[in-house]
Amino acid sequence: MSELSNALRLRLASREEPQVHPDADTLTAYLERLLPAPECNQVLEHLALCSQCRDVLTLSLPEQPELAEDRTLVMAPPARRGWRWILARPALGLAASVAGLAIVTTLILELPRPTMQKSAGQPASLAPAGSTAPAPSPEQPKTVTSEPAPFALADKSVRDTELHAGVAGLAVNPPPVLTAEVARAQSTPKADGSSVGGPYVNTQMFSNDASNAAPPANELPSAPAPRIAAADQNGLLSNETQLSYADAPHQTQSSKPVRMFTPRPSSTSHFPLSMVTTLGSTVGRDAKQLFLRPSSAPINTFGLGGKAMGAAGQFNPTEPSSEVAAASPPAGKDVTDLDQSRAFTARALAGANANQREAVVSVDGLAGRTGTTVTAWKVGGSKLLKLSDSGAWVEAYPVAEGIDFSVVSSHGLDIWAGGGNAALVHSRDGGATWERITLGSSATGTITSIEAGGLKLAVKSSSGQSWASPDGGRTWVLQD
Amino acid sequence: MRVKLGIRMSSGPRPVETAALVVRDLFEKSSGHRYGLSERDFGCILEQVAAKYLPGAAQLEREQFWRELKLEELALARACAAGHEQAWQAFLIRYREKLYDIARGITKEDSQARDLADSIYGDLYGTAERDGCRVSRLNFYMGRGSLEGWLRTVVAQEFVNRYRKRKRLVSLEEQTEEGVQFSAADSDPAPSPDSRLGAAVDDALGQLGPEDRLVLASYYLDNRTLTEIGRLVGVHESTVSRRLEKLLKGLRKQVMAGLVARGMNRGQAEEALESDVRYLHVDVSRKLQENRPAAFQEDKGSD
Repeated sequence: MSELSNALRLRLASREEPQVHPDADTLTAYLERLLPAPECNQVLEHLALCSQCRDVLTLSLPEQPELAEDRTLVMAPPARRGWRWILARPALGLAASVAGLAIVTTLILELPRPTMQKSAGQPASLAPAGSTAPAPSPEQPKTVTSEPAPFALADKSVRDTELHAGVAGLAVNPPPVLTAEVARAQSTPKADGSSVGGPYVNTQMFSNDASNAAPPANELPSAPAPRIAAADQNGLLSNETQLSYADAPHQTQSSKPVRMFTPRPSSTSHFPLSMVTTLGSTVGRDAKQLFLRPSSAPINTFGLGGKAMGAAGQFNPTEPSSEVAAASPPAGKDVTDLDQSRAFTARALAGANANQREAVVSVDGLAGRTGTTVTAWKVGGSKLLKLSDSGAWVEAYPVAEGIDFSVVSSHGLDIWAGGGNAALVHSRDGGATWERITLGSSATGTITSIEAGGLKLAVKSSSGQSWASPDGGRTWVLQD
Repeated sequence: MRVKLGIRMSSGPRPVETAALVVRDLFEKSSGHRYGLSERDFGCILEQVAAKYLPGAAQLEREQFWRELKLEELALARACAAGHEQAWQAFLIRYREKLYDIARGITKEDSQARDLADSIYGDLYGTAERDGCRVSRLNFYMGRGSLEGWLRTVVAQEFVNRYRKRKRLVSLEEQTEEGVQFSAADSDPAPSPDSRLGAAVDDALGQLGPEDRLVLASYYLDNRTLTEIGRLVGVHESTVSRRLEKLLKGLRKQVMAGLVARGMNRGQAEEALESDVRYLHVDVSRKLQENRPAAFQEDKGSD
């Protein structure tokens, strides 16, 4: 930096300092750039002459904004550095997934479709439900199709099924579910060995799949319970239902287990979470987030079921059989009763959440079965921010409260956020409503961490205090 | 409602009812009722603010000015000053810790910070009385900037005042202990530089804008860092650096031109600019060291 001539320095310093100073309000407004231009010029004129006001203003400078930004929370999205973040934009991710879906769909539509009836030695495949009613095979129990469904519906279901498995690189082996109609049919087998079930019952659908190879007939129980029955209940979290699959009980005259699927009408296409999950495993966590973030479609627990219960069509070896029993429809109950069962859903969602701990999302699946809301939270610039549907970060807490947020913790719909002055807020409904939590009169400092796990909560502040709540935030105890 | 008001505001004189509606609207926005203020109280506060900053302004202008105020914080501060319990609760929750943090940031020392913050709390609460009434410093908050920013400024002002007051009372022994070097008395007054030089420099400085002069004064007189100056004027430090270079070049050129215009040739002008160094150095140093709190000279970054 060039040195100023002493003459200049002297003349600059020798200017008479004004005796009247701007008040604290005006100086503050100047620092916060809130003054209109003429008044701003007046203040600058004064500051150029008044060393005292320059001193005051310099001391009044707030904390560096970049330091405040550094406190960005745990759940901030990955930093966008270089040009690669362009590829990770949600729009591109969505476009890529749609394109992939279109390609796979086209391939499936264009490929010749085998019929639903296969001999026991042939590979299993799915046929459009409306193509033909399968003719009963002499060796296999007869499958009765009462009325063919529209081709599009059945085909769509098949496509979904193949996508689930095909994209994931798995064998085409959708998780079977026994529908109520089928269960009823199986519970009353006909004397001639043919099963009279609901429509589109394919008796040999998965018979040749090695991973799902059924035990020989003599090892099977006489009236086996269906395997992953609850997937029907929560084939979709919404009221819409989709293709359901079932492991049919062992047929009286068959050496192979009979598995059936029952397509159900679906008015909308859904993006299966299993596909997201498996895609995520190949294209990375960021891509998974991209898929999850803007999604407003209901989650197909079909995929979640696959996660929770092991590979499709199989029992998860780690799952106790009691779970299966709980998920199975009781004999004689109809589908509405089946829908009541939450065992499968709860486990499935638990599994899904566990898998998405790092995905910055919370999946609302259970509450009212309203579908899935995927929400990301972060703290930026001392504000609590929420990722809106449009992909923009919006302020999620009223500014008027004046809380300088420093950390946020999200657990499904439970959002905890903390900030300066030991401020702690909590939302039970994903940010729709908030309640202010008082830790204690002696609470000081800025909240630096929030650990929420069930009813037990732990909060730490910058002043070294550590508060714990055993009852979900109702009472707080200062830890030693 | 605001749209309707806007239409009416732009046409003809404003009826009293409309002004009352505006005050009501602003009162609702301020949430003053939460802090125990009445609409009438709030109207008086708004009038007071307008009388201070816009004396004699038209009602339309006043209303526009009011809308730009930090209404909620203004209501909170004034409700505290009036002694409303709910307001104090809200104020303490929001600013208790912040005030200590601010004081700590300014004094860089814990006990001094606590002392300073406690003193400010006393002022805010209104420990002093005038005519039997508590006088709270919060009554002076006008809502032009944020309440937190205002508190920062108030703490900084108090710190500067304290420092200056204390500095006058520091004994010579204490100063010696601090390593202060006392200069010998000037035996011979320095010869005054050519008056033409002073006039030329004054002219050159007079042509600068206020922001440029602020940048120059902050850098050369206050020894502020480029970062601090940048934050003062709201630009990046690299911009300040470039601006300083440009200013110096321009000033030098203008002073030279001024000296030449005042009858010097180029060589004489350059000599006048350089020769003053040996005469002016002591004066400048003394001027810079006057009333300089030690805290301001610390923590200078390397620019």
